[in-house]
Amino acid sequence: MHQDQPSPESLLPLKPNWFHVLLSLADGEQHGYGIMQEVLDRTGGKVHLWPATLYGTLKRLLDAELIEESALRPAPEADDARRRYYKLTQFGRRVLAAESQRLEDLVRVIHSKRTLSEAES
Amino acid sequence: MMPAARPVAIGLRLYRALASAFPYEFRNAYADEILQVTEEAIEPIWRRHGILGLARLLLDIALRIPVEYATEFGADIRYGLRMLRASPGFTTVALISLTLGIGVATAAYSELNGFIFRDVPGVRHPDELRLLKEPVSFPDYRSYRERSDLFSGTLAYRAPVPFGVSLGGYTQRTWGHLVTSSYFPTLGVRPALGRVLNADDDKPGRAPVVLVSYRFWTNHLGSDAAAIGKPLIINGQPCTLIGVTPEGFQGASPMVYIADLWLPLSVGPAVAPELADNLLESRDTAVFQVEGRLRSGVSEARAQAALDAMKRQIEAEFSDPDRGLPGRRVVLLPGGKLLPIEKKDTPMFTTFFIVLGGMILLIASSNVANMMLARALERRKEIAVRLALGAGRARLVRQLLTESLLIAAGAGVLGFACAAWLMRAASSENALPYPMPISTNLAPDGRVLLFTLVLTAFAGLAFGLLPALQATRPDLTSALKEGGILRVPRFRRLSMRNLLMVGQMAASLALLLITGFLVMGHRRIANVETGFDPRNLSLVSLDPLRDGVPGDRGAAFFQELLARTRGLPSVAVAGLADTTPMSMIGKPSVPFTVEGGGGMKELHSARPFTVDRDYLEALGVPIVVGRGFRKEDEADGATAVIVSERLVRECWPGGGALGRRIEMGTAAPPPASWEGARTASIWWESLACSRWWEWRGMSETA
Repeated sequence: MHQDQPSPESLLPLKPNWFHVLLSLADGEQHGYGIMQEVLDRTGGKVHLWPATLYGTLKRLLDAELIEESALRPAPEADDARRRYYKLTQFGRRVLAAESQRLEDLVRVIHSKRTLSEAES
Repeated sequence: MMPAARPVAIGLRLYRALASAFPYEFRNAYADEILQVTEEAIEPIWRRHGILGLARLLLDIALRIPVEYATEFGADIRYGLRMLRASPGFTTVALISLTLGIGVATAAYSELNGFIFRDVPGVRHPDELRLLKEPVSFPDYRSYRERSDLFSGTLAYRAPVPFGVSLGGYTQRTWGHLVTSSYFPTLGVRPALGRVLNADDDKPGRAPVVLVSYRFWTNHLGSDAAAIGKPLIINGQPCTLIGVTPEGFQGASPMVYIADLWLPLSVGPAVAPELADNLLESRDTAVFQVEGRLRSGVSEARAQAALDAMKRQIEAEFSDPDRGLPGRRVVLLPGGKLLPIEKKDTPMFTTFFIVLGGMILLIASSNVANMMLARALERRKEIAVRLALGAGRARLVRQLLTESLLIAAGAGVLGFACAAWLMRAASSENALPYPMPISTNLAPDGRVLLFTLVLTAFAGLAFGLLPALQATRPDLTSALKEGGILRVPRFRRLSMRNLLMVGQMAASLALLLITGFLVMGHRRIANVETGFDPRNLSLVSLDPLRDGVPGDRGAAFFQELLARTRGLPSVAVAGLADTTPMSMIGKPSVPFTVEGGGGMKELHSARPFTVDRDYLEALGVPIVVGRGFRKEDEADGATAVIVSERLVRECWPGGGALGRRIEMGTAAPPPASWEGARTASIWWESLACSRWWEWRGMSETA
């Protein structure tokens, strides 16, 4: 399964939805509604992953083996049987790291440009 | 919270309905979860965004459904391509079979489209135009055109007319129409350059004018706008070029009589010998094609009945010998179609092509369906496993159908390309050995492309659906138990495979028979009993009159030419005639009378050929009874005629052609009277009977 996996860089740049979902799962497993809420909170309500779009994204992330279903479930009284929990795969973690690195580099470039133009003016 | 309950409940119900429309696999895997998330999220969304939030939620799922279907379809295509690549033999044979089927069917439809469905190019509202099936005489046309209550415009033209156009030192034979000035307005054709004819151009004695086609203007006049107003030497006479017709317009009947020149009828016989013998006044020379533009609200049947009644009246008025004959005199055809055929005859043409193309496609499809079935049986194990794992049957059928549609699509592209190439080759102007250019545009257009698309989809479904349904029949256990080796039931009567085989055989046999009959028909036409010997026979066609040589000098020229040709050592015998046998262009049949029983005259008609004394010998036409023409028969006032065997059978069934007499009009009947025509007729004495070919024919000496 893992030998035909592409290199993390080949998936970059990630689609924004993919990045948001991966970022939400970075701290641990999460169910669909949880991911939606997390993204909403983190972006101050700017990014709303609507349910059908969210699950379209989850399906593609599962197909690309960036995430997988988690076997861990919370206590039955806090659980809904229809929920599934998702977590990052090793590969998913590497892809997230690579994308984060790419964005950091980008930000660094923007910063240096800004400093340069400020110095000129 | 309470007032929110109703919109939220409605929204949720709508959302559930939409969620059930997801494709099977996606729905199985995620629909429950999506609904669960939505149930949790809908209240907060309603509180924060109101009705817009609910709308956004519904829009989200509504947009997602087609995306998921497209994804699944894409996966099916990839899977199908992989499966097809895995069995290249099957794929190749199936592709070739279907390409042939679709290609032939498309070519057949393309031909049908080119002949039957296409409109005359360059003409306004072609569906309003009606053409008289039979040509009429000009006086008859004059009567018809009075009926402006039926037609908003009428036109008459004589075609085909060859013109010799002098261009830079040589004469180019160009075909054209001699037209009434109403020709262009009735067809709705505006000039690309200059002007079209107007009523003044109809007046006799005016300086001759001419219009040329865009093609002629480009090819021979160098697209020079300054050519307008300059003279063009036509049949040796200067004619002023007044206009150029729009590009693509080649006359009112471009497929039958293509035209590059249009001259008004007022040019007279000096420019156009076709107008000689007082043609515009002669009631018994029906050579004019007549078209009219029906007024809105006037039915074709009404116009036809009105013209028919007029024709009968004319016949009665002028004591036409045909007046007692039963039957319709005037039949209207669609004048705006390339091939003017009666409406009732259209199905005959279309059915033939459709049956032929359909049958070939049927054979190809059942061939491929049979292979698909065999392949599906091989794959039953795989299919059974997938069914057992919970794949929907519809999903698997769709998967198998995708494969057959892929083959069909490939074959459709190849087949259309083949047909397009074939039809383009057949459309070129000189594809047929014919003395006059015939324009056929059979190249496929949008309509043909649509036909091919439908055909391809149909073929894909036809040969894919049945095997797919059979292969996914849900009797899982047997397929799983057999461990992949499947027994094909051998003696089941009327199984799908048997049916396909029987259908294929039947269609093949029918096609073989049709092809056989076509070949036999072609051979009969190719070996037609011509009555003359075409070996070592050469034809030279000259028209000194159209080169501007006056008539008397022309006759002398021919005598000189003949004498010198006979002097050539390689020439055994040479003769002269006004037209060739079997030519479609030439003099029409003329009426004549013979002496019947009891002193009565019987009316007949036949095509005359004016020939010199060596003509029949040169052609190798045997004289059955009597003698050939001699020098004394060529003298002025000689009345010798040679008749064909067929004419003898028709006129004198008792036999004995020698010495019989026929009464026939001479060249120029006085204007507008049948009686007048009779007084000018003379008696010709038959001196021989020849084995002329099987058309009605007579020969007289020049």
